[in-house]
Amino acid sequence: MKCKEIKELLAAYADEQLPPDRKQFVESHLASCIDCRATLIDYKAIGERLITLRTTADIPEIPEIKIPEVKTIKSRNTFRRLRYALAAIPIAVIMIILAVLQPWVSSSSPQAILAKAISAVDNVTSYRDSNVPGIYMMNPDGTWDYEHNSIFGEFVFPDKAHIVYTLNGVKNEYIYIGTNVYYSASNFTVIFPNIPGNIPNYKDTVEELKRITDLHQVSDEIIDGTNCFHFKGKDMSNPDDVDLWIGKDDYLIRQKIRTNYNTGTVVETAKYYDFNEPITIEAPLDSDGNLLPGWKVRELSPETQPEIVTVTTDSISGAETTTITSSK
Amino acid sequence: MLEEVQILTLAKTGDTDAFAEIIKSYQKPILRYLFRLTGDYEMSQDLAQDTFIQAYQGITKLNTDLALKAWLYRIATNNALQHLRRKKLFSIILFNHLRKSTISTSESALEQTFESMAVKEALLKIPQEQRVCLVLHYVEGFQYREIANTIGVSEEAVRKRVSRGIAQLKVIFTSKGGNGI
Repeated sequence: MKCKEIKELLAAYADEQLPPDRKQFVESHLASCIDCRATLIDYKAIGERLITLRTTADIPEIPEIKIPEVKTIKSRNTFRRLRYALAAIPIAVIMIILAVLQPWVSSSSPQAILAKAISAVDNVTSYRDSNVPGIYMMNPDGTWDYEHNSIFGEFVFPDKAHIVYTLNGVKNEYIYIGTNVYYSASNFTVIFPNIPGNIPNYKDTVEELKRITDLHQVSDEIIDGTNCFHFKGKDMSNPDDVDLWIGKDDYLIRQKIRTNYNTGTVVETAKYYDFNEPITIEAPLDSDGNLLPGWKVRELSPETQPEIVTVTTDSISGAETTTITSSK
Repeated sequence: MLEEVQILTLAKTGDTDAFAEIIKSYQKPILRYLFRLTGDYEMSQDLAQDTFIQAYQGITKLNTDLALKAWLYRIATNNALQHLRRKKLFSIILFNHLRKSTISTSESALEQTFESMAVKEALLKIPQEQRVCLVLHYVEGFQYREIANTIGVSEEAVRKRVSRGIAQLKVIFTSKGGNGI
């Protein structure tokens, strides 16, 4: 058996997870192969390093999952039983009654307006946004801080985007055009997606709306010149209060603010604007088709694995090192 | 104190208190597992919540051949993989952004923290399917057969994923200078 085949078995051998016959194979090879013995030592060491992750010291806290929320789900079973009961009535009759009455929707209810906001996303061909989200940052002592960063984005569907991401004063810029992503980044690690066009955008924000509960309407407000409905609700998966401003004429979201309801801290402020305006997004190339200084390009393909690109800039010399890890 | 099998039987009848016991027993391991897979604490909390809600909704249909633990980890794994597939441009590995110079902990604890961070960072760089197998085996203590049952693949597939995952980690650690391991 060749070293390559043996190495495929070494991790399982080190973990005592091989059946006896294969274990014997490995042992007879190891007896005569110094290279594989060295690899085995490395694999065991890596296994031991992974085992250190069994401690949870680096996880900020383990909050209790609230049982009442589960109980709420239970109450839905009542509706399931009701549905079975209704099945005894001819379905066509029920459908006609429901289609006429639409008892679940009042055209002016928050839910109806939210449903229209979700539908309105289909009319969006381009837009810009500015977003100030927060992220957790780990300190060397294992404690965590909440940090704000900023994102400016402009999008032309289906496959163009220009995104400027700034964290702690470090600016990183990305331009997506078709299957190419052009990037100008420093001191940053980014996992490039392997699916072209798979970029976070307004449609994701609209998807988030489906998670909002306790929705209620407050006084209308004008956001950047647009008359908007103003809603308040809770994100059922985060401890966040959510404020939403939705255009009264086109049902497009103009602003979203998330506030942590335990701390009262604003954790995200997003504005969406210039809907369906002509937006030009061009590759950072000179007149000869060469990349402008400081820019790099990668081609994205569904056939390739995601790539992790780390760009590190030396603070003294300014020299830039790019590390690319690609899974084969 | 009821045995897990009794708790499971009660939970399958819709007993909310029994399900609360299941949550109590598994919420920490499941959250830790999701955190190891995603590297995103906030998201892990969401995914853990989703996992238990889905478990509650599906527990009456649970196939008794699959242990409760394996079943919960399967739901959690599916949720994490779904999230990771959706994960997009800004999958930033936060551990690069060490800023604080004030250190209020012992040198050895600090070394341990850096070691833990290096391992986590490396783990997040390998393909998801391999990461799932490595975390289930080394962090959660599953045997290969249990992993196969949990994620619904053959034991041989698990062996290959663990093997390739370890080989990739070796490359990553080595590329960090010296032998890195």
